[in-house]
Amino acid sequence: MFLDRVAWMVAGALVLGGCGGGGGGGASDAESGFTDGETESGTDGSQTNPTDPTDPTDPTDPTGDTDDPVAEQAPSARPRVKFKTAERYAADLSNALSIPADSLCSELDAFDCVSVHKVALGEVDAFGLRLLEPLESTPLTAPIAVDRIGLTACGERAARDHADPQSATSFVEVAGVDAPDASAREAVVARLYRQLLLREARDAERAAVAAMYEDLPEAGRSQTWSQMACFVVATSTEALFY
Amino acid sequence: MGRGRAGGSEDPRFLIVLCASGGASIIDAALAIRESEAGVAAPTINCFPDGAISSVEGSPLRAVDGSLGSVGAIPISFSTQQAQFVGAHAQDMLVATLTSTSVNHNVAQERAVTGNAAWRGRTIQESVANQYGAAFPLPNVHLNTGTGFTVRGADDSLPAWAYGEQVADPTLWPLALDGARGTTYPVDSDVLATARTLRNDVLDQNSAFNQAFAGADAVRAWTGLRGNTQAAVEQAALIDKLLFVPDEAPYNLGARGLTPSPDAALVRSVFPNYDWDPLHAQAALAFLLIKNRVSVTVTLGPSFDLVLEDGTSLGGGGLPEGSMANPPIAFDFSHQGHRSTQAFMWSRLYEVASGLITLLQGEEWANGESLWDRSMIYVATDFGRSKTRVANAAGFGTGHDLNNGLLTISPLVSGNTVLGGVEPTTGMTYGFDPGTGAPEPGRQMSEEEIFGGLLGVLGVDTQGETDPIPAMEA
Repeated sequence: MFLDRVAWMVAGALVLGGCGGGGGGGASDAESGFTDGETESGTDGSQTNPTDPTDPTDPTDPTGDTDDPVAEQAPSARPRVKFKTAERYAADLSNALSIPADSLCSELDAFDCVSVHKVALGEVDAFGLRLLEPLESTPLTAPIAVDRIGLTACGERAARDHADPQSATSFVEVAGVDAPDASAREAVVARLYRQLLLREARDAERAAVAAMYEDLPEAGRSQTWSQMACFVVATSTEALFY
Repeated sequence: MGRGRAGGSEDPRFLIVLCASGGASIIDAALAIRESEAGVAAPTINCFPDGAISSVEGSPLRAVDGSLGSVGAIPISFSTQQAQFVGAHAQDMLVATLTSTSVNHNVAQERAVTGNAAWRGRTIQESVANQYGAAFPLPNVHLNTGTGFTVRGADDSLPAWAYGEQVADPTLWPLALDGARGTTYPVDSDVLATARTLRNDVLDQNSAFNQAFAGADAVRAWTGLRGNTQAAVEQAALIDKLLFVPDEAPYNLGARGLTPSPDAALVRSVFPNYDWDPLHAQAALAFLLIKNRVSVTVTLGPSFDLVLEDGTSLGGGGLPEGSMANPPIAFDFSHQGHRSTQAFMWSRLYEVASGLITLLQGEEWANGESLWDRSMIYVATDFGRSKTRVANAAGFGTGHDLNNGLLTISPLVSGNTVLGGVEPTTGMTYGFDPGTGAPEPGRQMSEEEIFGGLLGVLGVDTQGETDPIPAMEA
């Protein structure tokens, strides 16, 4: 078989799980990855399990960061969340990483990433494709496109900082350093959270991203870690929705 | 009779919806009328000099050929070869008459793929994807944009993967099937996997944002696509199979560690204008999607935009022959020049259909059966065109008309067949008995009936919601 049937069925079920049952006038919201995900109070909260250690809504904070007041964030009763879409996301990345938009990311060194992936990432193209409305549902390729943009933009920032540590803007403490220690890496993570998410990183977040260094190949590890530390923050769900 | 009700992904049928946007008039192609048949009505009916229409021996299907000096008011010479196509594929061609229910383009296009909501509003593409696509990465791919043929159906009960995946640019879209390969700063797959696991399973799961908003539909849809779904697409290495552009400027795939699909040269030879004609690019990718078992249905078609070859001079003397791939508003340019537009656009569709058939015939499914043997091209169109003309005029404009017919091409259909017929003194088509296929002058075929017939040919189990038309099935 071409691909594992079970994997696809599970994937389909996961997405269907987001449909909220469908039916009625609001049924189209079920798949509308780029539009408001408004749901009625209580509907979603009832699907969480406060005793489940993997449940992100568990107030006991599975990160173990019990002193962090953010850990007790309550589920929104009416979670109105929108996808940033390609242009907004690219603008945020450009600003956060201090890379001009026109050099943020290209495909094959010839095509602007944002233009290539803009329809998949929720933009319209009235004059080129007669696409007057964003796609109703999130394409399968959208998360992959985001990864490509994030990987490239972060790779660009990492390359610039490591090539010229004196002018580094994101990876100041590790730029040009072969084997940066944990404190240096955590300092970088803290800056990435401020630059990309406009908030302070929690202790567990700083530690987790800094620790990823140990899982990377030794060759070029410092720069690779820089790129991937940026990547995990820049492509996090928090960075993509507002 | 056909093959009976088929199973799932192990025994799929493939559906290619070739969209004839703007109104492809069936009496300007397979059901063309000779002046001698129209009799005294000939001067004011859209009919052709007898010598312009050729018939394939033993076939009710007709072809109109000729050379014209313009498309409407656009000065460009071109020739048509309908007879060549009909001669080659008559045994796989089925024409069924149809009278639709809207002369609004978008509404009519949508009804052409839903049978006017014949089956809870699901489209024919979604129906096929749902029946056969469970094991295919992207069962239903829409390669053209901005038409009613590519709407999402109204039936929300289908699995998410059955709805259409939109492709904006067929030449570059395959890049979005791998998160790192070909990027400016690629990383090893293990490195990417490590980072994604950290992001998806630790950072996202435990963030305050997630605690607050994990229940939002938009977030749940997004996180549902990440993880296993994303990994499965990348593990299938589709980026290696679907990139059909050459390894040369401006693409330079090799410089980024990529290579064209093993079939790239083949599809480019069949659709050589891929770099300036979007329909050729769509057709190239459409074949690769089916060949590589990515999709069970693909939708493609000309847009409403003028398409000129890059560098074409708009100076005096007319456009060079072959420099225009598409007139503005496609078939709907018939408003300005009916006969020339229909001739130009039918040739365009036949050329693309011929290319796809050739490619699919060259690929074995199993046991000597080709991919074409289990595929169907459905030439979907908005509606027909008005049947009258200024007396004896060869150049005239037409409006929208509900009355028309549709063309399907497939070994799965009852080929070399016309179901229904055309009244030559009015240009109006009439229907047939859906049970026996016998012509019935005075009867009109509905969108619902034809939709059921198409699904019957494709072996889709509609659980009694629509009725098959046995006479349509091989």
